[in-house]
Amino acid sequence: MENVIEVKDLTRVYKLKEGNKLALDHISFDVKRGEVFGLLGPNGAGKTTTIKILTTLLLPTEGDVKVLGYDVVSESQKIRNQINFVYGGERGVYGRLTGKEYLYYFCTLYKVKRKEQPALIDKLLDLVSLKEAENQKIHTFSKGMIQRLHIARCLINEPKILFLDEPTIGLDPVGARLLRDLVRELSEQGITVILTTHYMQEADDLCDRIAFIRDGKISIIGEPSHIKESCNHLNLYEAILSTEHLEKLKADQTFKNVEEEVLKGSFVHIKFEMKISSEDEATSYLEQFGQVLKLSKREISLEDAYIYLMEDVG
Amino acid sequence: MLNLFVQEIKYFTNFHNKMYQFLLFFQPLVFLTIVYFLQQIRGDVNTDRFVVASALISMWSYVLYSSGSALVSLRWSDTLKLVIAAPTSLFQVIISKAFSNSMIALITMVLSFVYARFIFGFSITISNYFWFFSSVIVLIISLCVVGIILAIVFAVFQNVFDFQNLILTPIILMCGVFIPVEQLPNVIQFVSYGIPMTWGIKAVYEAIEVNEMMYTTMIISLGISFIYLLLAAFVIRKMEMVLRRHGKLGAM
Repeated sequence: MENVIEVKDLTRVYKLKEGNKLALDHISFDVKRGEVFGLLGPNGAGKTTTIKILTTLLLPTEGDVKVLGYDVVSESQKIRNQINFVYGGERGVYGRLTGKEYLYYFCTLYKVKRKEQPALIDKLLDLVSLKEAENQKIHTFSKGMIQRLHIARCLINEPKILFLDEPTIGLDPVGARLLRDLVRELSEQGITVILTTHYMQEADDLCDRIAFIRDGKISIIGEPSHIKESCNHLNLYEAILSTEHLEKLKADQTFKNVEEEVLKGSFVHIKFEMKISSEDEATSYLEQFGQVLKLSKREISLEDAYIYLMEDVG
Repeated sequence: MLNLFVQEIKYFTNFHNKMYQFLLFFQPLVFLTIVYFLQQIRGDVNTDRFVVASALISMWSYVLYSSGSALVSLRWSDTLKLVIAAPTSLFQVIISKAFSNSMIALITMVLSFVYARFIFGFSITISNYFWFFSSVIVLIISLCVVGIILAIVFAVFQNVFDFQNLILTPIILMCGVFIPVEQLPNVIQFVSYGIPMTWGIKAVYEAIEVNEMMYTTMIISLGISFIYLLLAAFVIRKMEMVLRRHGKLGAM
């Protein structure tokens, strides 16, 4: 499949009063047509900087970046007609306008022919389930409605690539699911989607490939299943035990990333990582803290892989 | 471009804003009341000039506050990057905002004339309506250009809003709204003649009297406005580059 994004040795340095800050350090990756590509990493890792460069809003300090075959530095106008973006949060709207007026304004900014505007706006409002609220002022919209309006806006120019920067941030589960369904639908229509998110399950569900960024560098890139496989050496367990020594267990250096859920009384459901690979040995070790009712190895999730790969990031 | 201008007027003109309501509808009334009492006391007041002056003050005030915040409000609502990323240039967006604000400011001129005639009973003598309307168009263009410059300055300098009120009155004085520019000190005259509005205002006063200098004044006003427009286009392009290079406008 054809590459629609080609990034080679991309570096971005921000000049700050307190000195230079290296936001991206020679990162390289490609994205293919129709892919849903995830950029994951902690805050300040360089995800938004990457998106800003790809959407031509920021210049790279070094490196070659091509979007749809055009250079982001010298051919930004040719790119802008064919891409669009959404970033999370409630901003980026004109509260005094209605949803419909907002879309009409952006139709004009994107030079959509006047005759085509009403049908296009109706179609988009239908797609994002905002038809009934089309004449409602945006300042009365919920977060989810604003995000859906942004999705409608970003489809005005029938983009070939969509950049979604934390689109589900702050959304309730229903709103987030609606947005995820929309992303899937758009992907099925052949639109390439670049997604940044902090929700690992969301990335696992939606993305064909994922890149983990930390400290401005890509630490791993691949399909979610491959990323999880790369962490197969981790011994992840879940267990139910009856214990009075949970704090002691948590303080024991053998266990890492302990997550506990108190079930009832002394019964606890715990998830943890340890160096011991045999279930029998793990059970024996755990028994010093209480009665083990059940212990099993669990499948590595994308979140586990993320936590492992980002372990020492603040 | 026309579509953008129409949408600017339709969607972004905020008649609910109390300050704009005051500037557009009530401020001319206040100034005309002062003119009325001046005339009552002195009797020899040039009411034609003062009616136009009260309209000009309100027009300038509205342009200062509305066009001045045109770009900065995009930053506040976080829509600036959406606008910049769109295929329509930022220059076109700002020019449509500044032009729509200048056209809205025209309301206050019409209202000043209506108030003057029907509330205060002033008779305004316009000898040639064609040239008067032509001069008003020239004035609108100069206000639009000044509006674009204000939009840029206010967006780039973070604390310029603190000085907004300080700009208001000196510009009124410097552009010859009350006192003809020729009567100002030479140094100030030098600055005044560099402001497009000075020529637009001069053109309106001359057109009321059908002064033979009005043609030259209108041409100069259009010429200076055009130079400022080119300058604004250059600065806005530069601004976009600064935004792309540094990620923020503060770097300018």
